[in-house]
Amino acid sequence: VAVTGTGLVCSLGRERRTVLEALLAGKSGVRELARPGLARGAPVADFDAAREAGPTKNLKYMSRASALAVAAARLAVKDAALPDLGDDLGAYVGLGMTSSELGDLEKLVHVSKDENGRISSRLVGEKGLRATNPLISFKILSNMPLCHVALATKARGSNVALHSVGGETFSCLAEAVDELREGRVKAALFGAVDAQLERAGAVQIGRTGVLAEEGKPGRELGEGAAFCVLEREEDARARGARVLAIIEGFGLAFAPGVRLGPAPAEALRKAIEKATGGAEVGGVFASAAGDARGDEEERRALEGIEAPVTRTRNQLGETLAAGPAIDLVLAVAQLEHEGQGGRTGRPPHRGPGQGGRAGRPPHRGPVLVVASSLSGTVGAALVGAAT
Amino acid sequence: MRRVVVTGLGPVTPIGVGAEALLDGLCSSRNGFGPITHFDASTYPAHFAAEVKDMEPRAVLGEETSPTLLSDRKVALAVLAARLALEDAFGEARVPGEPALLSLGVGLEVLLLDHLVQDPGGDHFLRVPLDRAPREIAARFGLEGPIVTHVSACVAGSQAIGHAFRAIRRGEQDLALAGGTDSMINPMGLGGFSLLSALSTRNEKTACRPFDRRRDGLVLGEGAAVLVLEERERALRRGAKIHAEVLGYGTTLDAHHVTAPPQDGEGAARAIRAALRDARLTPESLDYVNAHGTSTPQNDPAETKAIKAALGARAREIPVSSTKSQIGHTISAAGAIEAAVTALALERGVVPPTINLEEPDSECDLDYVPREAREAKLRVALSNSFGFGGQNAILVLGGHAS
Repeated sequence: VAVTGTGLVCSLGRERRTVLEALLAGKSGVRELARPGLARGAPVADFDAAREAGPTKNLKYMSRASALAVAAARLAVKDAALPDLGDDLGAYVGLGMTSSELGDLEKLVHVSKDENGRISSRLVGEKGLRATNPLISFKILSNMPLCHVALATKARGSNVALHSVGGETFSCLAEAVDELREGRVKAALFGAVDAQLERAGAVQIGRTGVLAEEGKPGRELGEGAAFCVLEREEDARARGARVLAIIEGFGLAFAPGVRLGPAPAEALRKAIEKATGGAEVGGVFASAAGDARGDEEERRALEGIEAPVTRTRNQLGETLAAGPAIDLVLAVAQLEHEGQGGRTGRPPHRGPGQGGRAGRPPHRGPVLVVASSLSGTVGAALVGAAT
Repeated sequence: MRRVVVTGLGPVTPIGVGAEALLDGLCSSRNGFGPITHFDASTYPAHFAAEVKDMEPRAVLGEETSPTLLSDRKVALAVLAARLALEDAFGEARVPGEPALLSLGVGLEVLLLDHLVQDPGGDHFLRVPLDRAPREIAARFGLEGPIVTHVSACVAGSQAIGHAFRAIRRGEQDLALAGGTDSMINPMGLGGFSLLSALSTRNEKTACRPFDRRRDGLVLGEGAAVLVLEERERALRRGAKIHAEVLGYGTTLDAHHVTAPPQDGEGAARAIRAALRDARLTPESLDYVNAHGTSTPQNDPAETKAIKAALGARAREIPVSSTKSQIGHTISAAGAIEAAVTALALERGVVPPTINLEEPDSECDLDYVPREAREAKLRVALSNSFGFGGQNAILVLGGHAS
């Protein structure tokens, strides 16, 4: 299965090579945030929904997650120069927690408090609903980012919308690859989005103890979306498409009993073994989100892989569902960069404690993307250069 | 090609908990609707719904369960459904000896408005993670396989079953629990659907009347269903009771409009064709369609057109009925509950009714099995699901003998 187009919307930019260069230059999208309960994060600060996710008539139905997803999916389709495939274009999307859009509920809450300051369901029915934007449901419904992507790209084929906090996103990749291999679609939009840079999302993740706090290292939340256009390689070449990279393998594994916490090394190792099938790996994009326990588990899982290790989340933030898709796009950029004679090859970060070989000449082997997760579902994908 | 059979059914519905109770409810045209009792909904434009009265979350989840978890009824509904399905398949609430895939459709997080007021920063706003129901099932029943959580709204239950079916057929799994769970009968769930203007405001037991001329919207229900799916040879080897066979699955996107399906049902028709193609069957093989049948002005004629477009002349020869007429729209659970109903229909030779259908709509001109169930020998049936935003998912089920 070939990657013929990518689309990326993250805190360091839109274009995969630009973002890779920013990472190589050590730039970071993490900044101070003036948001209650969330001091730092990596927002897509310059996002212009009207321009990037329009037309305007649909924007009123979109949550931020939907708008980010549409922007990234459009970029991917444009990058692939994909013709209108209709029924033959499927969409397989990893979605984060509901974008709760607390601001939309402020009026409802305000008029629905009883004399004791508590919410009265009677008052919600009597006054609250009338005070609420009637379109809020379209923003909250969890499948809407996928549906907006379908509208924007005219994808009318098979589809899946899976909840993800990281590793599950590669379940969507697995679904996309299966649909292509079994001939149910000619092209697949695989991707993910997450937009949790507001208090409710941060609180849920914060309960795991993995977020950075004053004086305590840990994850900084980010937001973003990434999509890839996937096609069977022979179909892509037959239509004259540019093949950017090949999905050489992927693996999923599961750690029973993990509800919200770092995935253990054993599960990660299984996913990596399935993805690589013993093949030599030229580079690794690790999850490496910054919390000590998660990073240590991942370091153990990567023992024995002698390849430079890249970590993007300390610069792009922990983008949860979107993280594995973003890293996959950046792995494509990495391979492209090396194919064009890139000198240093890998961003200048050592791996999660294992002594990465940053700065050495590139190996030009396939790149392993590891998706750890706070839910026990982990994934890995092996991306090779187009030949 | 590997074949996939249904060896366990765990439905939890407003008209019956467990396969036998559900079948009895279907055959006796039981009506699951009444005034909402979970909270004071009397001032909402719609305040009738189909609640599951025979399920007390604390009794299902245990005395020590936190009030927050108890407030998200879809977790207890799912755990009970999984327990019933496992007991039906294996005689005990455990998966014997091997990892099983768990593929579950779930609804939205419960938005706890009271907690939002107590802490405007949102610290207690979304207390129960979206994937809590599948993780609770895995932990309680010792499932050690993959967990996949489908969040595709009204098609989530069907897609969850389709996903598991394909995984077994491809040889990735031999055993799966698949289904859906939801309860939107809470202040923000009901409020959200009210804001969509999707709900019937008749507020009477007969408000949900799919395909009837006087229908004015859907009525919310709650519930869950989990199905045990197994590779057929494995099920036969262990002497399992086989309810039905999953023969095919198809899913499409409308890509038409954010808020409305195409009036000609084009996306739904493509999904039906895709499912039949996947099952390697023609419309002539079909004996029954379990319709999505929401009772909204838009869905029912569009679905009728879709069935006619996809099945041709066969559409007028076979019964089509809506289970939502009895249990309401259970959103992310709907596809799973209706798949369980379809499996029971095939197994027991009964066509469930569309109750409350009194005045046929001229645009809805198929045989909708009004008011009463019918006995019939059924070989193959469709279970239709269509979702807000334009996702469509169809399952093809066959009787075991087929």
